[in-house]
Amino acid sequence: MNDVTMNDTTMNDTTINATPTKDPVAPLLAVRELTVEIGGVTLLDIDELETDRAEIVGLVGESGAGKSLLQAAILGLLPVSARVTGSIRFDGIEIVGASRRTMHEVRGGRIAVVLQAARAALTPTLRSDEWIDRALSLHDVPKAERAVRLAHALDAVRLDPRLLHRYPHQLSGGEAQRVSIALAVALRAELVLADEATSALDVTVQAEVAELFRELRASEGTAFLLVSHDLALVAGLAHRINIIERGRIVEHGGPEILEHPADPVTQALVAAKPALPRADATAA
Amino acid sequence: MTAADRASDEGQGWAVWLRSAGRYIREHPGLIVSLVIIGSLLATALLAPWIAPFPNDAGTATNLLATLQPPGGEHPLGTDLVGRDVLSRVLFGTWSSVGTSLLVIAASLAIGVPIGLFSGAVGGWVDEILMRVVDIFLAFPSLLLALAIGAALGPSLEHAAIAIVVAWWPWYARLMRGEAAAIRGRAFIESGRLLGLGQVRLATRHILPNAAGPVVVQASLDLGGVILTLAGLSFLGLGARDPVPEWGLMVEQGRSLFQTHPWVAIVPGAAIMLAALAFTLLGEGLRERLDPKGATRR
Repeated sequence: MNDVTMNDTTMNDTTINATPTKDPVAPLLAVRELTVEIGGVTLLDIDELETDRAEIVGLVGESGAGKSLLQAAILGLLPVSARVTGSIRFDGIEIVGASRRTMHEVRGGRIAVVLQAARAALTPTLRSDEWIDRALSLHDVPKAERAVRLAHALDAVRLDPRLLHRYPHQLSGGEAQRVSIALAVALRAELVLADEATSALDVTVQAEVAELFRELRASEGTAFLLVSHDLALVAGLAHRINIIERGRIVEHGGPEILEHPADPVTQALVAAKPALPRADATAA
Repeated sequence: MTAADRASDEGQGWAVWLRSAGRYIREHPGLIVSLVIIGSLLATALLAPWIAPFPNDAGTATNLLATLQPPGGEHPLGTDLVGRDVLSRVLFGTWSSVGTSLLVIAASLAIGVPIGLFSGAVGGWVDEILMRVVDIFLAFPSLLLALAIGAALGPSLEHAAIAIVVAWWPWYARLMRGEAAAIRGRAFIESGRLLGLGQVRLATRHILPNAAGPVVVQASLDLGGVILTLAGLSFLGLGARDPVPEWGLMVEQGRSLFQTHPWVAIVPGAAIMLAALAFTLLGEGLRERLDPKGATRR
């Protein structure tokens, strides 16, 4: 299933199984001592953030806490004026200061992104099948293989193939989100950055998409970094949760940290969610 | 009746198509009328050598035995000062006037759209520099600029066309730039970038198709204006020269005869009006469909 070459010799576990790898030596994504400074202001200062293969990690914080900036950093898309120190390693590949060529392989291909505004994230003048086909061709998937991958992806996200002949404005928010996720599956992305991926959907669809993430983790071995302000969603899905505030990770651990929040920021986030469901680490 | 019956039975087929076409015509009369006129103009431009009664009169031929004949008989729309058939010259003039105007618009788009797209898609200082250049061009009144260029290059239809292109492209550059810059901020461009798309592909495949509507509308609205400008330059002696059958030039040739032999000026004048009107209607019709928010200037 995992056909990408491992170019990191420290990677000792190349098989993906449904349980998160607990090998501390080789996380899929490892952010270490990362600082990002723009215009003399330090906007990110992250000691450590990790995502293992087939693990769902939550990154929770309020607007402006640095969630989007961290995502941009992981994708190597920080503005040129940003000064970056530290390290972001994805499967052993250093992303800070990586070449264009390296980033082309990683960005969009091995790390996919699912955005909040599902419909707006699809180009209005392209049908969904064209959109997916072009993205696959961009990432050098041979034509013969694209159809196979697409069929598998549609199956995985339970999307009616007929919907693919539609333009984005003819899809519902949930359908559009499935198209985005289907692309991530078809690309065989190892890590999906889900940026408020369910926030714009109504509650029942939210639950469906959350369930889909859980399934894809199990069936495809995809790791998810859930970037969200929605504590309830993250608590129900994530194996590990990081609370970010003003560019720093102020608290991290299993979902149990939400039951006994130590940091005032976490306390405030928890308090803001009176109907928080019981956090359950084995939910996945 | 049979057609309608069949359509309701089968629920598809040419009868349904015909009915929906009928509804479309009722809902968009201007667009349809303009398309009919433009279609006839294009047919005329292409078929002039075969349908004109006196094809040689579009060239250097003269017939001094039949000057200034009134409309009727052998010359349905009369003859001009040197005995040339006005109908034949107006038919041939379709290519000189409308055809040239189409080329002028095409050339203006070919220059303005890539510059505007590049400027809007890249942004930053590149955008600033390009748009200041465009501003300089726009600071001149376009007709005066065209006049000056026409005067400098010497009068001919080609030079008049070049002059109009120089005066016209900055409008498209600016319109395209504004649309592209607006599209650049949309979420699907962000998602394209996150997918790993490069600048060029983002601009040509994702920004351009979504930003093209207002530019297309503007170009079709402008065609009428270009036809008028081209005719105007010829009228002022800066465009086509005799014997080229250009409508503006023909109006100018009939100007001194207007009191006594009005058809010499009226016929090409009416042709100019008809063509300009058709393209304006087309532009309005397209605006309804492609640019309902009205980004284009009137």
